[in-house]
Amino acid sequence: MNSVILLRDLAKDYQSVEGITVPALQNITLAVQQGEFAVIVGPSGCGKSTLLRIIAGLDRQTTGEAKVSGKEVSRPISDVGIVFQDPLLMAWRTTIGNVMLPVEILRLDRSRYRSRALDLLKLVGLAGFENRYPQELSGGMQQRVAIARALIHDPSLLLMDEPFGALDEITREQMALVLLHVWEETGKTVLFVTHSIAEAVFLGDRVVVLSPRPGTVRENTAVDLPRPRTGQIRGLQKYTEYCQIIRERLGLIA
Amino acid sequence: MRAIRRRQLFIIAEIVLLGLIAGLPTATLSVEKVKLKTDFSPVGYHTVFYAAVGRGIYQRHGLDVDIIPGNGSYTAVLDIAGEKVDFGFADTGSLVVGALNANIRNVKIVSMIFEVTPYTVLYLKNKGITKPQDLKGKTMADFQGSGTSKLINVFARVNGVDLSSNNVLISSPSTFLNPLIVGQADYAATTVNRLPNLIGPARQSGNDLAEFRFADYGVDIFGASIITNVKTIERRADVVKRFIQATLESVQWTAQNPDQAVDYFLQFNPQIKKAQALIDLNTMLDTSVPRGKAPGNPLFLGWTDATKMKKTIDMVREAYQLRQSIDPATLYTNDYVGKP
Amino acid sequence: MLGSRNLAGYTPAVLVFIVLVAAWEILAPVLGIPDIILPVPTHIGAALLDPGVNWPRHIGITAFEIAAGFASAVVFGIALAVGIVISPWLRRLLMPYVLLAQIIPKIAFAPIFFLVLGYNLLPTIVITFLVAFFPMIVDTAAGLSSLDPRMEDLLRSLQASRWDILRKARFPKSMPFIFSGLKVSSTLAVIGASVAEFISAKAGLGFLIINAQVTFNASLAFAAAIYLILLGIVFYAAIDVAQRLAMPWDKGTRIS
Repeated sequence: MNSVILLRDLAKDYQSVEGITVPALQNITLAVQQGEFAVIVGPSGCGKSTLLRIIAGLDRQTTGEAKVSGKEVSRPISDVGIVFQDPLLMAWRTTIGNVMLPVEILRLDRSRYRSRALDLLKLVGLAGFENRYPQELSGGMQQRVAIARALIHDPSLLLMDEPFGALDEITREQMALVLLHVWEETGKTVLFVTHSIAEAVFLGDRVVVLSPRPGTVRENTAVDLPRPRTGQIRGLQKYTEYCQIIRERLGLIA
Repeated sequence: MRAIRRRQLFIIAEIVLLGLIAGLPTATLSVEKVKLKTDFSPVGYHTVFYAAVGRGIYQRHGLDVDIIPGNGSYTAVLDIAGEKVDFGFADTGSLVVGALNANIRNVKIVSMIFEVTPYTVLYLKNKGITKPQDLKGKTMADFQGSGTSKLINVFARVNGVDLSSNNVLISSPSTFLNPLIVGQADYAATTVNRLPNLIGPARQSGNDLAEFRFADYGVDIFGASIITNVKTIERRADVVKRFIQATLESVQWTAQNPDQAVDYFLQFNPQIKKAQALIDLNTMLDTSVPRGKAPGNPLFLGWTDATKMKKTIDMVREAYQLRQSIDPATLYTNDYVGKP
Repeated sequence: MLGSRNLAGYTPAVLVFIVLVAAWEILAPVLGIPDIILPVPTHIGAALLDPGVNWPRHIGITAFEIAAGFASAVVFGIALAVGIVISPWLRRLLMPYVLLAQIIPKIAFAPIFFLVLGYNLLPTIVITFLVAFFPMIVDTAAGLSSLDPRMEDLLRSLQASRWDILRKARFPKSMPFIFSGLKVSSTLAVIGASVAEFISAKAGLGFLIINAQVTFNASLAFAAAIYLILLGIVFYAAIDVAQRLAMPWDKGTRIS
């Protein structure tokens, strides 16, 4: 099996301020295959972000197993690219400066990776914007830079925590297409977190539905829609059916 | 019956008359509110004023005196020039500087108090100093804006020594004598009341403190005096006369009864220790009010001598290197004091 | 601010100033305000340009004290801020003393500095430093701690060291805070140097003010105070220019 991510019976507890143990995640078992585009969808507070942080090695589970690329996750792994809802670009760096950040941290050869950076910018549709400052870019453009930055060091895994959550609907749909284009070109494994049912179905090979806190897996279904996904997909009957299944699992259909 | 009633009537009439007569002086004298600004925050030698208030001397002369502490003699001179207070108690030298350097013409001395300057040079005997000439090449302790540091150059000239190239350690007015106590400095110019308290601490640091009084070494100029605005003299000469008379009476009494007088001072300034106040008062009286202990008519005090006034002006001029000169008579009046 | 369009915007302020000065000049003698208490502008102007006063020397000495005290406050303040942000242990150790140094009234204790350090410029610079360093520490620490935790996550996921995070993220992020601190600190440095000079100095603008006051030379005192104000403005303007040069990307969002 080529599981990039393997979670088995994972649970995470928090200590509240009063000292009470609060369970955030329970019985999380899931596997993400290499090259797969997996989506986690769930309501706010269900622990999706916590799950991403555990997979990235920024936090530790309380019980259960978490493996990335076959190895137990115990500390931050640099073989990961992360994109947050906030692009978190450094205002004092140009676009290409921001994309090159991981190269500097990882002490990689800057001259070699610079051309890769330019290629990535082209891939996300920002050719010619290398020397602009983040202040000069729109929210969607900034997020594209963030995606390029997440890919510069050629990680095997791309973790995305509601990356389009702050964008308007039209930009969201555009960004979805950009992301899918990048994914197809690079062949990365993607774990994408969202609270948008439409986005989950549109983007994913597989959708995992998490319950409200404590988050447990309510559904883990493959999405059998044609690739490459285009705007037309949204008009298909099957698309609507998948959305309804997820809606029902989220308890939105009485 | 009639005889008794008549007698009672007489007694009542006598009592009423006596009451009227007793109340008469205060009834005819209106109580004037008067502000006096001193040279510094309250210190023992201000006792003359506080005793005059506490003992009712001012009150008997129909004056309600508010004593306001100053922040240097020049602040008293400024307040008089600006008519903010009625009287000031300030070093005569400061008035001279104001007159010569800033054209202050509306301030006059109405009574001398410290007829002899209380300035003195404190020095360390153990640094090989026995006479003023030995001060050459030594280190002086001083504070910012002090008048004594300027006057000491006159002291130097009169005693034939050049102190202008000496090193000077400058500090704040409240702490500037510390370098002298510990021996970092060899001499300092200040007022006589500072010496007694410093002898002990200096000895602890292995230093032997002594003094050259300015007046004993050729710089016999005036000390502090009572000043007022010329407009006050014009419009309220009566108040000026009463204030001076009352103050000089208090100087006389204080000089003869320092211990009792200081108690009045402490009533108004309980934060000061009696021993300290007595030192500050007695040293100043001994040095600067030579006629204070003389029994008899107190109006013998307060006279401003013309020759000494000229000498004061000349020496202050020299000390501050001022170019203007002035007719001494414009700076004082003896109208409110008696001839010696 | 350096554009001609912006300079013209200050014309009303300049006009008001001219009117106020003229009114002062005319009204003061009319109202009977003595020159020794509040001198008229022409007298102050004469004092400002008085060749008998060695202005370059006095201004230079005070400027040196301010610059030296300010520079030490900046270096020490930033270094200390880095220390207390990176190391909670260091913060617990040092912050009580930092607070103590800030709260102690320097004016009251200034004579002790002179007694211990000597009657020269060193204690003056130390006092200036003590007065000016606190805002540098506080503002720099605030800036260094203002890193978005998710950016910290991102950097940690790349296995960045604490030093990397400091250099590449915290420090650049804190630049607006640091410049804000610099401006406050420079103002305090002017005050600190003046106060120290009031206690002990042989030259300088504070020295001039004290000696002018006791000799009733109000015009000189005011003139020295004006030069002191101008020094403060020069420092502030220099920092403002430096801020623009250091943060060319920062076109609008500035804290001060």
